[in-house]
Amino acid sequence: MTSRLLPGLAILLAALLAMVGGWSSAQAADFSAREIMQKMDDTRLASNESSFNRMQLTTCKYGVKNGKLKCVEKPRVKLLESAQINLGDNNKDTKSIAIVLQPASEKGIGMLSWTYDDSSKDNETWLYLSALGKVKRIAAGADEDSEPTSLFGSEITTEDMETGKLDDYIYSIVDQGEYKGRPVYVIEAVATPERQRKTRYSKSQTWVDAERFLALKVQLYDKQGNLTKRMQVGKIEKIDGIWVTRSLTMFNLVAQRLTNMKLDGITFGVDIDEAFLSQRALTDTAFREANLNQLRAQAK
Amino acid sequence: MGIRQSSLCMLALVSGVTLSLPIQADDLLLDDDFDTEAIFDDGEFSLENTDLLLQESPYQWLLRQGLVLDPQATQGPTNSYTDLHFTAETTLGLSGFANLDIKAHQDWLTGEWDTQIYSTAIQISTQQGAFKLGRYINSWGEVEGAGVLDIINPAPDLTDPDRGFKPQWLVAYSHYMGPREWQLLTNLDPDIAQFPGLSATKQASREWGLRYKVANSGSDWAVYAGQFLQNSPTLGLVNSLEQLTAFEYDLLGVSYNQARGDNLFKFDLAWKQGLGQQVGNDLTQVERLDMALGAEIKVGERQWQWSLSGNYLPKHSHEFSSVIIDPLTFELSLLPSSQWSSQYGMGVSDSFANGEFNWSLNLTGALNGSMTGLISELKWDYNDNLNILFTLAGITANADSALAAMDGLQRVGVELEYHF
Repeated sequence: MTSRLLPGLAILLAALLAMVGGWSSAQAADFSAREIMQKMDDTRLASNESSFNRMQLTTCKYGVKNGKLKCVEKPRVKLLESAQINLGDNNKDTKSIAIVLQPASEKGIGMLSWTYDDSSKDNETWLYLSALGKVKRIAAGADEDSEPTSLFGSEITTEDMETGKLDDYIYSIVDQGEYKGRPVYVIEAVATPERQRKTRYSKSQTWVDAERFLALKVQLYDKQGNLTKRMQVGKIEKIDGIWVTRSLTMFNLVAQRLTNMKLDGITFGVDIDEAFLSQRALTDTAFREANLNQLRAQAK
Repeated sequence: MGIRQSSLCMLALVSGVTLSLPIQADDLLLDDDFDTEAIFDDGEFSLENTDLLLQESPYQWLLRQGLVLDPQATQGPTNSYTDLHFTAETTLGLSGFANLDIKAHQDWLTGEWDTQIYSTAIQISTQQGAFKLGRYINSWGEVEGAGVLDIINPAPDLTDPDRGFKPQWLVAYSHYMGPREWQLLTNLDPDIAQFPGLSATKQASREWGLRYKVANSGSDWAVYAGQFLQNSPTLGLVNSLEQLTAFEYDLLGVSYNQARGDNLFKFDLAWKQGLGQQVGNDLTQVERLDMALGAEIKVGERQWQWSLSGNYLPKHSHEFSSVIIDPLTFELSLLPSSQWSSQYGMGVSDSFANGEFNWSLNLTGALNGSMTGLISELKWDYNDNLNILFTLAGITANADSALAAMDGLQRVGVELEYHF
């Protein structure tokens, strides 16, 4: 199963990993829901040509006390570096790699992902298992009954990282107005019958910034129509003329757990060799470190 | 329909009409979000902070304390040990990397103290190639534990507290060409399994192997060739004297995996020429075809693993036999061996408490029912530094099987692992 992520969330997370923005002067008033989602995807692709960043994933069980959200256990914190490039027809496919830096017990664990815009093509994921000394393909296909693979134990899944595949959903504008001081459109995405068999969600709702074409909030509903996950953007910055989502939080409303993802040192347009985003980077540590050092130097 | 249900239906109907379908704009734009800034200070995470974080850990320590009990015994533990690992790593110039893992082992029952380089490697990479010299694990094949192609690093035996594959002193060169990869390796000092009270003869002091691997969309395949030493030496009876020999054999093999939805299917096949076999009163070398089929099936968050492996002796005759050890008298005797032998493996793993606890249950055995082994594990990830592993293992084996001496073995273990 895998589930592929409903596109609103996928685009949002991809945007976080890479960056978002660029349409600051555009107005969405005359666009259809599908066109708005397409613009989000286009924006991501146009500005996400090559990116390298360091990110922190903080996961905990949460509770609300006196109206304040609190972690009710000691949060698990992971520090990762990731790089990605766009490839394929119209640059709509993505290759990315994420490597754990902290904690020490997981240092060096890497996840390689190739995602395809083509709906008929399953995305691919590999992990390096040090205990076995081998790269292992992770089947992350498309069954509605299975849980997608978690991103390093967080509440964010590989499905959440998927992008493209806009044809798999039917979009509608269900609301418009202001959200947290920004003009937004609320876009509802309902999976096509074909996609219904490949996802655990019945629909998503995405709060799209009408000027910047960023997703500010996403809600995911299960097959019974219950709200199960919510993603909220925390901090957005304009860096080098590009709007960047610096932090977001994914809430699992069923398990009452959250993962906060923060980006640090994000750099766009870096020179990333496609060969780096291959299985070799998982097994050949010298090769991986040499490439990472080059990327770190560009990021300084 | 009960009164309560009818009332609810009516209420829903009225609400639907009066509030209008489908979704209310005001509802959607209502700010019902959580205030995440209260717990996550966006300003506290900076490049400088994370650089500092990384600089603080040029090396690491791992402390492992284990205790193994035999539930059938009334005396003390069957094993009690402490392992201390010191690991460090560094880049070498622009395209080199080195790592070191030194292990100190204390056996509290025998009083033995041992220090060894558990694993180490120096890697030098070029544009398309990479050399790797050191003591490390390099797995071949797809079906883990089947012994068809995962032959470079010996697997632990059933009572070995060290459950991982054993690192070997290897020199390897890998050449990368996009999705294709050549790998040539040699084992400088191949390990073989030890038999209590018997010393084994190694027929060769080196191994070499060649692999060509291709990663396709949705699947990977590879072909293999090489000369290897049996990881587990063959026990023979020659003129009524036991003889334990690890033979050198030639190998040709192929492996394949295919992802289908959320499931992964795996296949290994190997032709081995020169394996040890008791034939009549001689310990000689024969040909054998090994194969394994495996599947990883995901149902919800639960992962099921299935494997079926087999060995076929094409030139089998009635003189082929196996040497078995009587579990009571420890005397050796010959048992006719069949042309086919096959094993199965079934495993299931899952987690609960949001991944804090991981458990697995693995059953393995011979298809003819002569041997069954069960291993279950529960791992508690208390935090990022400390985890606790509970294990339970048991074996049943017929008196006429190769593992007869282990019939009835049961073990309960607990192991604490602390990273710092």
